[in-house]
Amino acid sequence: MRWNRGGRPINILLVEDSPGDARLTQEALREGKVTNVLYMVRDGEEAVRFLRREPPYNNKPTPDMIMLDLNLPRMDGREVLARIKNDPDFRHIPVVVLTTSKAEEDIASAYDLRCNCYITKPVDLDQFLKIIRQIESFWLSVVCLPAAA
Amino acid sequence: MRVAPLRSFRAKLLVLVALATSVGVLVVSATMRLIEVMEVRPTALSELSTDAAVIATHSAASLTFDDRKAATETLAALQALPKVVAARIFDRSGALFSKYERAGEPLTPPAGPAMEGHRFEDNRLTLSRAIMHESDHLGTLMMVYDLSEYYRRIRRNTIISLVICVIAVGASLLLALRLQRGLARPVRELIDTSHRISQSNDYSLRATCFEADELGDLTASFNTMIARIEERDSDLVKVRRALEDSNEQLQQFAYVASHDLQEPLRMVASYLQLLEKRYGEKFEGEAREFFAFAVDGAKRMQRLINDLLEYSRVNSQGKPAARVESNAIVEEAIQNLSAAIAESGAQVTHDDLPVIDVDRTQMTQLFQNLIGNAIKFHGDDPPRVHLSVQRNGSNWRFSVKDNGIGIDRRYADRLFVIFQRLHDRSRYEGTGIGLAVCKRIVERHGGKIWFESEVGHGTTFLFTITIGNESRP
Repeated sequence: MRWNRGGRPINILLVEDSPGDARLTQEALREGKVTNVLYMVRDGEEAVRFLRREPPYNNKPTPDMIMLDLNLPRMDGREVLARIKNDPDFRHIPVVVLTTSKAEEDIASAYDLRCNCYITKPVDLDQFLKIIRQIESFWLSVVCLPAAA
Repeated sequence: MRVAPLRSFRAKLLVLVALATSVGVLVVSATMRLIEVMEVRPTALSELSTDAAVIATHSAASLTFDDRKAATETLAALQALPKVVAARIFDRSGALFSKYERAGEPLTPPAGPAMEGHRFEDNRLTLSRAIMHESDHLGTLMMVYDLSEYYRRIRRNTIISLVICVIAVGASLLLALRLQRGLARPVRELIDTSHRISQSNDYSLRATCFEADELGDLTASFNTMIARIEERDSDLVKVRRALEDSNEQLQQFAYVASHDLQEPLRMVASYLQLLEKRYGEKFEGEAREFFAFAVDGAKRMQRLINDLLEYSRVNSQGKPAARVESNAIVEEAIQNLSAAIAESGAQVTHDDLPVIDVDRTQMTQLFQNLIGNAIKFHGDDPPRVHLSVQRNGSNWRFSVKDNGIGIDRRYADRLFVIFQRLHDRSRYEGTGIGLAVCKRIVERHGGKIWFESEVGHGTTFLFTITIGNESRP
């Protein structure tokens, strides 16, 4: 495993309500090339609290990357995206939308809300694992991320 | 807007009345005057004969006693009869015995004494009769009547008739003007009401019935008709709203169902695969086979759901038509199929295709599906696909011809049905939605799609697209 960011692991926040999907993502990232720490929250409100370091997330770091599912209970994923991207403290964080829908209007609205990229979750496990690894490889190795606040 | 037709309807009515009255009055007057004219002569003759008889009787004595003075006095009495302009008495031998001439009357002395008889000449009636005493012929009396008086009277009557005619026509017009309101009102009411209804589309309006005559009848049936239209209209509106609602619900249902079904499916498929991956070695051959079936099932279900979504999106997310170059979108479809083309060694060609008015995304999908099928269902030879077009009245008729395995005509009616497949999955993959989507796209653009084929000898798919206004050559 390579270490990035001057030796510290990458912090990834996964906003995903399906435990099955969350687990799969976790498994995939575990096998990745870059050391990462995965934080998981189940819905949008938790995500915002996490970012703001409100209890019980007082000691959590600001994530280097956010993976966001759009279909969330209570606060919809789009609203979370909007909140993140409109907040001067968090809008620099790359948001990878990882969701089931491949409908044109969903893609369009996500980019309109300034997500950094939009990925449709595939059915096939191998494909899914491959995509997670590609995300990791691209965003965490190829791309330069801004310094954490 | 005041109604022009009614003015001419009223005009027609008034003209009718005026004509009827004038004809009536004129016919009557003319007949009367004609009769009068025809009676002038007989009347004159009768009057003059009477006068002459009287004078003759009174003159008999003067002739017998040869008293010219008496005779002249008798004749002078004719002064009292304005119609008489001259009179002459001749004696037995025909010599002039006595005469009378009205003052101021021009007189051409009549030629000699006729014995008895009369003559009409120049507005004058000349009458001669014998003066008798018992059976003694004493002499002849000739009298001349001026008929101008009669004709003057007739002329005066004619003028009076004409004046009366004008008055009568005027009076009847006035009367008609008054009375025609009774006729015109229901007609105007009908016209006004129907105009208001057609402008406002308000079918609750009704025309007022004024009388229980034929027009009242007409108004009543008009109202009944409007009531029926109103009923039908509100039914239609209800039905349409119900359909729209139902449609919307169905679309929503399809969308939500498809979306929400995907997630659990993914769980099933992914974790089965994960299981296989992590614990695969612990399972024997049979278990692997079971896994394969399970995973395959889940994956297929996912594809089916996606296809269903795609199918329902044809109508729910169709975009309005715009000018599209067919050549360009065919090229794009070919580009999208580049992998399949390379893999099968296919050759795809097309004629120069026209500009059409369509939803660009859907038409590209249509071409892609058809070309894709043409490539997929190939036989032993590498697939060769050709697209062409033909002008057919107000339509473009596109054809996609291939040299593939062909289609048994027995299955013609199943071909475009959703999820119907004609081959088993091991030989040709696909969910069987491609052609159903094609059909929906074509029908959304108002066209038709069909195929011509023979098993083993390739297939040609044909579809029509209406020639739009913008792309008319």
